[in-house]
Amino acid sequence: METVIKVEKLYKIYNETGVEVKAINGIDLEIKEGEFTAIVGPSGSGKTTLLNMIGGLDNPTSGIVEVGGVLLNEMSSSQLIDFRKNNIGFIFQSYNLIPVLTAKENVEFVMQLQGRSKKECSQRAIELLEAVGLGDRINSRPAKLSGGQQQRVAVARALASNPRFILADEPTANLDSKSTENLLDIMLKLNQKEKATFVFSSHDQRVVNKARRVIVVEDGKIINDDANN
Amino acid sequence: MIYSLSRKNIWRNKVRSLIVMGSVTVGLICGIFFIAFMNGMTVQRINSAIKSEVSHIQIHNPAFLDDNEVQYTIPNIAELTNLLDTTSTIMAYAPRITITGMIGSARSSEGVKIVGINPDKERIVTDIHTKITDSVPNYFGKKRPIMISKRLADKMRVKLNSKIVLTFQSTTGELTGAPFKVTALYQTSNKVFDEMMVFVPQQKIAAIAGLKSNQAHEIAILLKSDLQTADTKENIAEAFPNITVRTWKKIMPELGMMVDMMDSMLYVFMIIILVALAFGIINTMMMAVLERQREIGMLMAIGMNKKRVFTMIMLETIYISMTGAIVGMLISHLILSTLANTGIDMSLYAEGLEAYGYDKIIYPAIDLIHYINISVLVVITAIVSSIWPARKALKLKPAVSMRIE
Ligand SMILES: Nc1ncnc2c1ncn2[C@@H]1O[C@H](COP(=O)(O)OP(=O)(O)O)[C@@H](O)[C@H]1O
Ligand SMILES: [Mg+2]
Repeated sequence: METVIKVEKLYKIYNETGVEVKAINGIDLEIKEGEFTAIVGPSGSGKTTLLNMIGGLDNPTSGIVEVGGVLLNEMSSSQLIDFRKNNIGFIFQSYNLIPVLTAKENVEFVMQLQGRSKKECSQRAIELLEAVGLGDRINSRPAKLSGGQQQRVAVARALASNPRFILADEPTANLDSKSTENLLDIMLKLNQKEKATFVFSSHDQRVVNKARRVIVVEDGKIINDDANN
Repeated sequence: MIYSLSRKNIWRNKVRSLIVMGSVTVGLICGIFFIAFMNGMTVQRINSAIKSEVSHIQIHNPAFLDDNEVQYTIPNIAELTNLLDTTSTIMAYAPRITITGMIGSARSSEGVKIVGINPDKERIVTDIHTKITDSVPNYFGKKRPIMISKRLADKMRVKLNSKIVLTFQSTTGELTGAPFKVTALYQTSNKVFDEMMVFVPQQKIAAIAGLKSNQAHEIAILLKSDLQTADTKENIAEAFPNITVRTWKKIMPELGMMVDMMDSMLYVFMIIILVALAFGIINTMMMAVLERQREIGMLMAIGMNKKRVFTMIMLETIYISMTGAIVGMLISHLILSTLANTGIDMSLYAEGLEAYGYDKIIYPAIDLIHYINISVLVVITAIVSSIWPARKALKLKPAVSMRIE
C-alpha cells in the first residue's frame, strides 16, 4: 500500500506564554492508504498538536510532514488552505458544521469549494448522507440534529471532497456510548467500502478497541505502535 | 455560494443585526431629513427672493447703480424692450422707476425706496400683489395711489385712505414732492423689505419726477426657468454693452453663496453621521467575527480560502447595512412626501426667521440626486466598515477549531 502520511523527526515547541512547552518531542510516523488508525494517549500528551501538523493546520518547529509525497512545511497559509481542500477531510470534536446550512448543504459546501458541478455535489451529498444513515434528514439544519447525527454529517462532509485521508480529533468526545459506537461503525464501514483512510485520536478505550492500528503517545512521543509489534 | 451563505448568516444573531440595521436606518432618516429641511429652507428663500425681490435678472444704467440719481435711466429702452419681447427664455419683464426718497405722515417721516411700477407687468414678474392684506377696490386706479407695507403703516400710524407725502429729487435736481393716498397695504415675510419699499404707478411718479412715461431705472426679468439665467444674461449683456445686466446671484451674493455652501455643508453633516455609523458597524461586526472564531477556523480548515472568508464577512456587513439603508430611505421618503404637502410650521421661531426673509412654514424637499448620492455614500461606508472585521477574520488560525479547552 502507498504511504499517505510521512512524519520525520517532528518537534513542536510552544513558546507563547514565555514558558517552553514541548508538545511534540521527536515523532517519526508513516501511515498507509486504507489504514484505520487511532492515536491514543492521556490529555495533554500531544494528540491534537500532532493531528494539527499532519493536517497542515499548524507548522512544526522542526521536522518533516509529507502528505501524498508533498512536503507541507514550506507551504504558505494560502497554499495550505488549497491543499487541505483537495487532500484532507476533517472531523472536529465540535463546531463541525455551518449552522445556517442544512445537512445536505454542509456536505455540498466542500465540493462547491472544489468547484464541482451543482449536480455532482447534490448527488454525492445525498449518497453520502444515506451512507451515514441520514437519508431522511438531508434538509435539517445542525441545530435540529442530535450530537451523534451532527458528527455523522461531519463524516459525510469529510468524505465528500475525496480526500487522501480523514483526520478526526476526538470525534466522539461529546457523544454518549451508543452514538459513539454507531459513529465508529459507520467510519469503519466507509473505511472498508470507500477505501477511506482514517486517522483519529481518542482517549476512550471503546474507541481504541475498534481501531486496526493503535499508536500510543505520551509527553509528545510515541511509546507504542502496533504496526511495529 | 458565498452570497447565499452571507445572506443566511445575517439572521444568526437577530438582535445584533437589527441593532445595526436600526442605527443605519435612524442615521439615514436623520441625515436625509436634515438635508431636506435645510434644502427646503434654501429653496424657499431663493424662490421667495426671486419672486418677491430680485427676479432672475435685473437691468440698470451702470451710473444708476453707482449713484442713485433720478436722471440715470436705462438707455436705448425701446430697442432693449424689443429684444426682451423676442427672447424665448423670458416669461415676463417689468420696467420700474425707483427713487430714493422720504415718506411723510402727520406724525413721522421715513426714508424709503419709491418704486414706480406697471401693475399689469409687475403682476406676472413678482408676487407682491399676493401679499396685499388690505386694500380699497381698484387700488391702483385712483388719482395718486400708493401701496405701503402694513409694518410701515403701523410705524407711521397711517391706515388705508390716509394721506401721505412723498418727497424726492427730480431730474433737474430740485426737491419735489406730492401727496398720495394709501390704497393698499401689503406684508411679506421680509421685514427689511417691508420697511423700505413703497409702490406707486409708474406714470404718476414719472410725471412728478420729470421722466417720460416709458423711461425706467430698472427692468426686472422673470425667466421660465432658473437654469436659463446665466445664458439669458449673457445674451442681453452682449447686445447692450452700455447697460448693466445682473443675475440674482450677483445681486444677492449672500444668497448665491448660501446655495453653494449649503450643498457642501449638507455633505459634511451627512459624512459625520456616516462616520458615526461606520464605527458602530465595525464594532458590531468585529464582535460577530470573534464570536464565530471556531466556525471561521473550521471553514478555513476544510478549504475555504482567504478571499472567500473575506468576501463572506464583507458581504454580511454590506447586506446588513444596505437593508438598514433601504428601510431608512423608504421611511424618509414617506416622511418627506407627507411633509412636502403639509410643511413644518415654524411659527414658534417665525419672529427670528422672518428677519432673515424666511417663511413660517418650511417645506422639506430633497433632490433625486441627493438620494442617489446618499445611497452611494452609504454603500461606501458599508464597504469601508466591512474591511476591518473581514481582515480580522483572515487573521484567525484554522487550528483554533481543533482546540477545545
Ligand atoms: N497554543 C498552545 N500554547 C502553549 N501550549 C500549548 C498550546 N496548545 C497545546 N499546548 C500544550 O501542548 C501540550 C499538548 O497538547 P495537546 O496537543 O492539546 O494534547 P492532547 O490533544 O493530547 O490533549 C499540552 O501540554 C498543552 O498544554
Ligand atoms: Mg486534544
